[in-house]
Amino acid sequence: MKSSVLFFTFFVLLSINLVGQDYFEDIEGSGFSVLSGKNGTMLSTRLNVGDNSIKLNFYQQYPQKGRKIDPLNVPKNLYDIGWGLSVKGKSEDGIGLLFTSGAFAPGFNGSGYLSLRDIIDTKGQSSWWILLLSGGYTISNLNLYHPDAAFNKQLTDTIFQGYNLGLSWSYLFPVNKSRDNIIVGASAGFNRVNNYGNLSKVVIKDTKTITDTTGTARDVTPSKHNGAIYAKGAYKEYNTLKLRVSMAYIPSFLNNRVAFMVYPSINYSMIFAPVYNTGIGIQFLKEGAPTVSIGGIFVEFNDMTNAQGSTDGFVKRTLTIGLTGSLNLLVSK
Amino acid sequence: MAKIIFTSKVKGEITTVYASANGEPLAPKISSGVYSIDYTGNLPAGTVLQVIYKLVGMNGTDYSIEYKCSADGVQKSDPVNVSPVNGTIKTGDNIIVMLNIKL
Repeated sequence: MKSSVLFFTFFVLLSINLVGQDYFEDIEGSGFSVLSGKNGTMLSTRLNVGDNSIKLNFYQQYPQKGRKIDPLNVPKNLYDIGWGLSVKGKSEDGIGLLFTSGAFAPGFNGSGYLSLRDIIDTKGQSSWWILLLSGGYTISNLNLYHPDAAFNKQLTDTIFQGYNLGLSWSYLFPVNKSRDNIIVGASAGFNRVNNYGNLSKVVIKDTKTITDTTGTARDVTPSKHNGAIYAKGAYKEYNTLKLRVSMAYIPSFLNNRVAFMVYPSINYSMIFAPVYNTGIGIQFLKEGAPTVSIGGIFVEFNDMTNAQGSTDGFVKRTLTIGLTGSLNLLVSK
Repeated sequence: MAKIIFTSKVKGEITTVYASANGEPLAPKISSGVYSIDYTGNLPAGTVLQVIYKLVGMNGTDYSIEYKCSADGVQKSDPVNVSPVNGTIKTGDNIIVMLNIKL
């Protein structure tokens, strides 16, 4: 079981200065495209120990300029467009390593997206859907350990370059009678990925043995006393098509401050049988602003049918628990 | 006729807002995350300026409408909905806010 606990001091700051959120993020740093905040500019940060990342996100949404609409006679459809950029730094081995050692496998992801929002008015009741087209590039420096190779070739650094192209759609509707909120969504993403995260990890330390004249031996670690983390096993890079559906329920009996999420998905690739995944999550929302997530916890079961042939048991193989938190920085014009 | 200057700011994580003054639709402007909705015009003294807002957002979204209105430089207000008008979006019964300001 991979589990992580987030202790960032950012959490103490989460109650201040939060603004519209563009995602209810999941363990992989993606999720519902809410985009229901105000038209304008948003800059936010996002911490995610699910994929061990810190993300900076910029989003700009434009209403139709000079839009004058009678509030008692709203048109059936009203469109807003927007665009955004995000950059993400990550540790392939765990974000805690950022604070304990410099010896981790770093990664970087940059992506951009275009959005289209339709606000639908049905007999005075508003709902809205959002369509997102996104594309991104990923580069990571991965540490691989080959125990059967010659000694000087056992440790290698591998540069991984990946990309992704995705289309997602979300539909949000406040429920009139119960005063709950429901979000449903679907997405399709084409990705170049690797299996580094599924490989077993070892800690490599370079030590030196010093023996004195009486025969007493001492092991000395010359540098990197925490060692470096390397992945062991058959490393692969491959293309996947990921299809996902999602649903979130934000009940009024919890003052619309908690979102319950479920998001099953299937990964198709040329080298594995279809990989079935299921995730559930809880997002904690800002008081009086249910579009703003201040943190969440996720439980995911990935590769439930063991398409990747792991020898680990079901729980160890599939279960991932993650936390995410946000600190939105500012809203300008 | 009295010179009317009405200014208002709508705050909160609302998705969008529509507004009108005496039936005339108004275009909201957004700056620093706040919607500004203003109206200027000439209306007969003693009449009522009716400003209507329709708020769109998720259930549970708090909002605040701060407004100022003057008629020939004299401050006016809606005695029922004194600025700031605070509330929470609950679809079905709380998405229309109506100000009636006697000039």
